[in-house]
Amino acid sequence: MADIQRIVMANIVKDGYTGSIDDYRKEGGYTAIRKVLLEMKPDEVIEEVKTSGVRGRGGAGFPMGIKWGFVPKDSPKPRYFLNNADEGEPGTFKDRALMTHDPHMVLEGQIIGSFAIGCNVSYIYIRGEFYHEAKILERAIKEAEDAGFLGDNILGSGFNHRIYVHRGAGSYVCGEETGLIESLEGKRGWPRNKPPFPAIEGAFGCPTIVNNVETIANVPFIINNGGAAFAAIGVEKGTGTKIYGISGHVNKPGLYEFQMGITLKELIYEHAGGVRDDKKLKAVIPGGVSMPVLRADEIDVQMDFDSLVKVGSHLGSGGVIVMDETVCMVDALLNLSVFYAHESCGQCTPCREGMPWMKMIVDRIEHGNASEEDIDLLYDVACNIEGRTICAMGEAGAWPVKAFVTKFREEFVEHVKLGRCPYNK
Amino acid sequence: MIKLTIDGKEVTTEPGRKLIDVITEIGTEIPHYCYHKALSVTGSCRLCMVEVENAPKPLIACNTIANDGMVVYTDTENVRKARQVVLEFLLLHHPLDCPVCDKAGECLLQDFSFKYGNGESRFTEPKRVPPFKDLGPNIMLATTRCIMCTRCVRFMKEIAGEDQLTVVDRGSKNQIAVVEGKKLDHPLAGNVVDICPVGCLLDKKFIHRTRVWHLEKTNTVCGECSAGCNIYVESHNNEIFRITPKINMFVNGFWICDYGRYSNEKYNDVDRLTKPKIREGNEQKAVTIEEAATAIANNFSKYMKTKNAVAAIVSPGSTNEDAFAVKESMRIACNSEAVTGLFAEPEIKDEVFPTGFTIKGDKYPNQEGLKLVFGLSVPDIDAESVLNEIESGKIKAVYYVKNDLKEVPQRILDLLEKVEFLVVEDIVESPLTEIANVILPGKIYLENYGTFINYQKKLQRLQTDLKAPSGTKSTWEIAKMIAERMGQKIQWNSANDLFLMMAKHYSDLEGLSHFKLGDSGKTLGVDNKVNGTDG
Repeated sequence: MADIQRIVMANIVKDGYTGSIDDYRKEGGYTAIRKVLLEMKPDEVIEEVKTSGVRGRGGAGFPMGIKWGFVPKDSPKPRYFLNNADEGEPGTFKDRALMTHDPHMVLEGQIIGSFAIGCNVSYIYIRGEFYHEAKILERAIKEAEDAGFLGDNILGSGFNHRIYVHRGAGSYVCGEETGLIESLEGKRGWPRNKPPFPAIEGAFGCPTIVNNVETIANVPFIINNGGAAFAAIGVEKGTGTKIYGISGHVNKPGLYEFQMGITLKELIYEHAGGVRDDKKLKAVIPGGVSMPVLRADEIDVQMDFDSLVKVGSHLGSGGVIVMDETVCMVDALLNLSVFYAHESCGQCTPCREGMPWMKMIVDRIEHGNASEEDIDLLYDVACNIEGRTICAMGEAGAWPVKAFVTKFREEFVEHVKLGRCPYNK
Repeated sequence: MIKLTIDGKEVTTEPGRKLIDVITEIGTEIPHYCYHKALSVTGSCRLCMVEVENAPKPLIACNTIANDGMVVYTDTENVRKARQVVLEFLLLHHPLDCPVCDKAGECLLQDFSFKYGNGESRFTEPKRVPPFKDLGPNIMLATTRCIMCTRCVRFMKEIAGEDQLTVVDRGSKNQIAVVEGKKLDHPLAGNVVDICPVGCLLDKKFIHRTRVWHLEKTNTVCGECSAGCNIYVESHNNEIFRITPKINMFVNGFWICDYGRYSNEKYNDVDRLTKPKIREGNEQKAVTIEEAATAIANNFSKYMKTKNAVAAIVSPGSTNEDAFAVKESMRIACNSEAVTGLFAEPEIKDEVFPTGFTIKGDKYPNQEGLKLVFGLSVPDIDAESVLNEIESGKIKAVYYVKNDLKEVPQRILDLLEKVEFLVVEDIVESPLTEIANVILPGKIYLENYGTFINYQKKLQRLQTDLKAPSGTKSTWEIAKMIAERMGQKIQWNSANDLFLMMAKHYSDLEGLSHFKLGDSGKTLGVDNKVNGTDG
């Protein structure tokens, strides 16, 4: 069992697999749901997921079973299970593939999760740009309804469940769970202050669980094989497999699923075909652009939650962005800063004012209109945002700036001294 | 009760309260913008940070519930840094146009930046300069000064109950805007100007007219309906520049309506009566107040041999003191107990807003007071009996105290035309003054001292800093002059004297004085006892 490398993409890689309900069932799909609905109690499902140790794949890495356990057992209110398909982190494209190519695995996981917390209506909040994927999901939901896995009295168990697809309107912050909830409720996607956490008071004021698509897709495997089997895969505190979405200057960009704990070096050089044109590697962002960048000499690190923390970064969403020696790090940071300034929702002060300010400073550095003090100012502004915002967007925007400036300071200084970008031919 | 430690001081409070309220209550300032006691918490300004022991980072005091055993620090290095950082961010794009900004002097951005901020800006980029916006009939948006606290948006939604304001666009381009197809014209809209912590939402009737530090603030009671909202009349050189709410949690909370807010305008726009007049034939001739009082006394003396031949009708816009003075001078000098107010069922309904703030349909501020002063248990019947006696000719002379801009019903005008001798005390010329034998120039409630009793039986005090137009007199002065000219000795020399007399006369007012009413008034108990515990 421990040498299993693929869980959520296990079907997708098979030749001829279409993602239809028939294909999914041929591969053993919708057996977990039968087991759950007919043989298990909700608490047993939660226990199994707790045992698996599966942590959130959306970025924050919170243990899924523990999150489910937070839903108050005695609340008279309805509960909601939200599938966070607002995959907006630059460098991340894994959920899209799962929804496109194996939507039923996601749906099965979602139905099981909903059963575990006692929820009869769940939503897939999908980013507005994923029009095609939303259509696929809607078709899959219809197939599941027709097959009796959704609707009233599923499989004769007495459990009723319906899933609705809700399309977002194109905001990064709506991937933040409380921003997502606000948006789902029809309001501006402005994240909420916590506490209360969604598990206590979430969508429509009711207990709510928000999980990432990839995380949810792991649930059928955990039920079929047992939490312990899942926990045996990967590393301690980083159980199971992870999809690594590799983009940038590699020969074979794409999605790769491996056990947690594979090294970044192995990923890039053995699986993604190494750096393109045999250029020198300069930097790697390991988990979506919000996570601190690593220098080329730091990539001998295991790709799991705790190992990356040790080198000052995070696993995040597992979106690996590879940059070779031709990349101007200031320009790369400018690209990110523009993104964060554009995507700040503007609700709280540090993010609303700080993100555009950082963008302006990076812009000046890139174009040679800055002094060395501006580099320190940039770093200071990032520190001033971090930890002072309502949601994690503050960190998301501040961390890359701090990491770029710290790890590639000499490039920033060079820009300032030259009065132009040295990479600008 | 729970105990927590704030800056080393042990504090006891009820469970479940917001940390910011608990800290503010003990006199420690927690700077904040988005938080407002009457509104939902958004926690967006990030200024009210405090340090709580065992919390990994500073917490916003507005969204933290005070817990038993909590150890809180409000003045640590971390807290000071957090405030400085937030204030720096807030000032990045701020135009720093305090010299031309109407909020200057009462601006929280100014105050907190001065106290907690950094003296210099590190921001060297061009500032955003979004255009100013017209939001509605009375309010404009100085967009550049906005700090996105969204108090105004929440006020409209939660207190006014109509989403007239919203936030448009995203991030640093966020702007307050009127919801498409609407105007900011709600009867409570003016309050957004008061709660705006910066100079962004401005009252178009106030902009560029004065600096706030020139204004004299007097707290009094609004007289535009029977709600009895507590207000500040803010004036300079005897001109009212604005009327703003005074917080009274037992009456109006934090708010007033726009009818009250702009009530001074209608009194400004009219030609006030300033000279007493006496009718001679078809002409009304200006006289001195002494001549007028003498004429009244002479005429009243003719009728007073018969009891109740002279009557007084007092508008329920008058203070208790004025009503009492009229009643007393009628009793002492004119041998009359025929004193009443004109009580009418309001023609319009109360406007009640989601949190209970009410604009009363009864547009008189003191019907309850007049009922008390005149001892009327069934007011409209008592009033009707006076009117009937005018009709039957039993009442020969009437002293009518009006002093407002409301219309007198045609039926009353027709009745009063039959009266042999009609004295009218009013503020402007009207169909009523046209038929008067003597006209006396009176004062409006904004120029008066005294008390009103609102619809909840809350007895509240009126004060003023304004000088009424020269030549005008308070009702109690006129009542005194008339009685004295009729040979009586009158005790009172002020509204205060009258109230003390009333306190002896009415059991409901026993033991009270203007001073004891304090700033938030007293509720007269239904059991006729003074409820001295609230307010």
